[in-house]
Amino acid sequence: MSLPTAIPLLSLLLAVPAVGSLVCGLLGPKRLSAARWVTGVCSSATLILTSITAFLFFGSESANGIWESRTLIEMTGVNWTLGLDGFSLALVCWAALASSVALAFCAPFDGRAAVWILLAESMALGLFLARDAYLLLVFYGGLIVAIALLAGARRRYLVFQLAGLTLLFGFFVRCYQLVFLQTGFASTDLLRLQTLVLYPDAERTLFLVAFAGVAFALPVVPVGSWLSPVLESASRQGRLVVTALSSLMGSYLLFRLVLPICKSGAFLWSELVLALAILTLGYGALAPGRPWARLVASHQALVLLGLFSFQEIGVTGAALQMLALAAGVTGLALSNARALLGFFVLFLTVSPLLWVLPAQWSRSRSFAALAALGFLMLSLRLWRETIARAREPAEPKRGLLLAIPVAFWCLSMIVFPGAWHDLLSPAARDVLPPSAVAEEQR
Amino acid sequence: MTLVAVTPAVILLLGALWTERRGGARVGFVAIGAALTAVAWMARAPRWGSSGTFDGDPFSLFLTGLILVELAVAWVVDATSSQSRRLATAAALVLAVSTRNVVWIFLGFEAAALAYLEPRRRSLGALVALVASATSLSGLLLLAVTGGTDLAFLEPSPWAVVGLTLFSCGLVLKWLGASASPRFETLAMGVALVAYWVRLVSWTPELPSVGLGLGEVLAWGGMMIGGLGAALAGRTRLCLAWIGVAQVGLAILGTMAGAPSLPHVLVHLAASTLSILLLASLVSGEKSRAVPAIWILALSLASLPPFAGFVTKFPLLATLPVGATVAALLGTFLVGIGCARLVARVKREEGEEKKAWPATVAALAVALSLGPFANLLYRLASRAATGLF
Repeated sequence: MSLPTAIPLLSLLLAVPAVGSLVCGLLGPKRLSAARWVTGVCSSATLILTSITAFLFFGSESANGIWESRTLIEMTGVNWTLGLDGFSLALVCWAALASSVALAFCAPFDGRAAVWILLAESMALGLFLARDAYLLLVFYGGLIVAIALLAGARRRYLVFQLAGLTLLFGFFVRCYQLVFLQTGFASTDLLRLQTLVLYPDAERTLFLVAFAGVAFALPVVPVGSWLSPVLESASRQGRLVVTALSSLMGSYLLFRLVLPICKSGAFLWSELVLALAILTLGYGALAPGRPWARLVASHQALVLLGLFSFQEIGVTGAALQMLALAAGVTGLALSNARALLGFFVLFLTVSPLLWVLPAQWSRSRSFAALAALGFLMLSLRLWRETIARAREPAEPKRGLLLAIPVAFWCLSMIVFPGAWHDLLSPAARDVLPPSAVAEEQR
Repeated sequence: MTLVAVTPAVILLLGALWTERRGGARVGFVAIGAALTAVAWMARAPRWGSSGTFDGDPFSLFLTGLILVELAVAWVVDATSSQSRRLATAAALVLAVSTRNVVWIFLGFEAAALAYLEPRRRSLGALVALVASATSLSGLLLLAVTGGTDLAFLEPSPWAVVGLTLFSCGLVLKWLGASASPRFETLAMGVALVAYWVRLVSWTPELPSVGLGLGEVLAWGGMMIGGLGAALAGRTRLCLAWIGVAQVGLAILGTMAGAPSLPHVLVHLAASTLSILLLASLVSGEKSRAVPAIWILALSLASLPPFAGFVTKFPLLATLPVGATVAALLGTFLVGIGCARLVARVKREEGEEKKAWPATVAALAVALSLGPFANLLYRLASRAATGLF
């Protein structure tokens, strides 16, 4: 682990949009021009800080990247621990880009939406940087609230998210208890939680509880019915943020919090998870009604397929698939220009074939075949909906311009797969069970 | 009798007398400030002895301070009640949390009950209060005859067990009867009930079955019934009242786990009662001008991170056995549903946006200063919990 940096760059990174959100909120609806100015400054500053952080990360000699830690609540062992590895860097860059795109998409400028977008950006950055289980849940909760306020979501969204959060809360409390019992002092540090010694039965139960909690956030069948009303009730900006940021939070929690603690438990429950993933794919392809919400949810199932292949290439592919899904669906939501629609749909169709399905094929051919069938049907549905959207009247040029950086992001994932793999694979190794790591090395 | 320990109560009583005769809110404020100063002074001064009826130990002082802070908040946000009566109630409850003598505890609860009873004699609340008083009084008399009235020196005998059981049931009934409305008096009564339970569990080693057995029934019942009531309640204030019952139930469940959980119980009690008090003052109907504040406080009560409800609850739950943790999580989820329904129900009242920010700032201050930035409170609570078990 590297020493904490002299300037709290990571804290600054998530503080800038939070302060911007606060200032915009205080300015109120009557000082729109000032709020617009503040929003622009904060958004640009976040992008610049993200670039500086990326340069520092690539210049860093430490294998663990950039790191900072301070005591927050002494008695409960909670620390303000933030860290940046390759996976976090990719997500942080995406969150900064997507939020700037969503803010620039405001035409005319909407002060209230800007407040919640900046808050959601800050919470998402915190979520991706947190290296303490308490902080992870804090930023996750903050992101849920920001999305709820932005999308005008009400009872169903909150009840579903609270149900998921309660299950994760139970998982967290049990891990906290066990850390205290095994080490003699209270701590919520993720590295310490990952060294817990768990009996197989306890690990199975813990994983099941945690996965049930994450399933609400992902979302997967049968607990994904909150997503459709949220996307329908939200403004276009709200929809952008839900697809760009909220679609990452469930799989990220699985990646960073649940799987590193319950590796063997995950391995033992993998068939159930894969069955749920295939059901989600099938539901997305066949269920009637507006498809966009289900397209987001169904693509999450592909992330699960990669993660539960328990191979380095599959887990890295799942991380890539997370980013591909967020970028592809955001691009689709920005503009209905035919060339861009074609590009993003092609990207969403090709990416799982490259990164996720081959890894699952080498683990379980039956699951991979079923998943491929589900994915084929889903892709057909996606193409059909896209063709229908392309026939609608042309949308303003602003969306087209904003879709270009997102398209470059997607293109980089196709053109430089090796660089992306090198960036994401260290984090992927933390998720693999010891037997799988040994197998990879062999 | 340690007279120094009753200083805050005496100051409040003097304030109540003055307010009753002359009126005016300023004297009440001065009295609350003076009582808080007295608490701070006693916390810094050396112990004044713990052998008397009233004890100026850190535990009593913490809870006295909490009741006084709640009183100050109620004084600002809810001016509908009779102010002299409210000061007198606070004085009675301060006496009840500072003592280990059941006579004073009984008197404190009776005096507090006067504040919420309706003038109509035939109301259900009056009937419940009457039954509760009769039960407590019979237990008190039985204790006085068979085992003494000081919790630290009870003589162990079957009749003393019966007396203590009756007395405890009466107090619980009185608190439940009072909890129909979320206001300062009922929340402070909940604090006093938790204080009684801590003393019962920690100071009656010869009679552990009463405190632990009854405590489990009360805690599990309180959490489940409170949670269900909150999830199903049709009216906002009723929902808050049930949330109060669930939070006190959780606090009593925490006292069952003994010394490790006590600091967390105290911090949780402070955070939840203050949140309920503020929230009750903000939501009087379906519309409110302080919607952001309502969201913050309701989500804090629903244990959504990063607010106080989550920060104070997870270390508390970690000290409980697995079964109790599961029950507490279920109760938390039910309360969460109630809170989600509450925020979905309340709509923004247009036209008065300028006045909404003080409520939002107060809500943020409570939800964050008792949550992620609660180091000072945790230090006080751990000091208060020292040496009780």
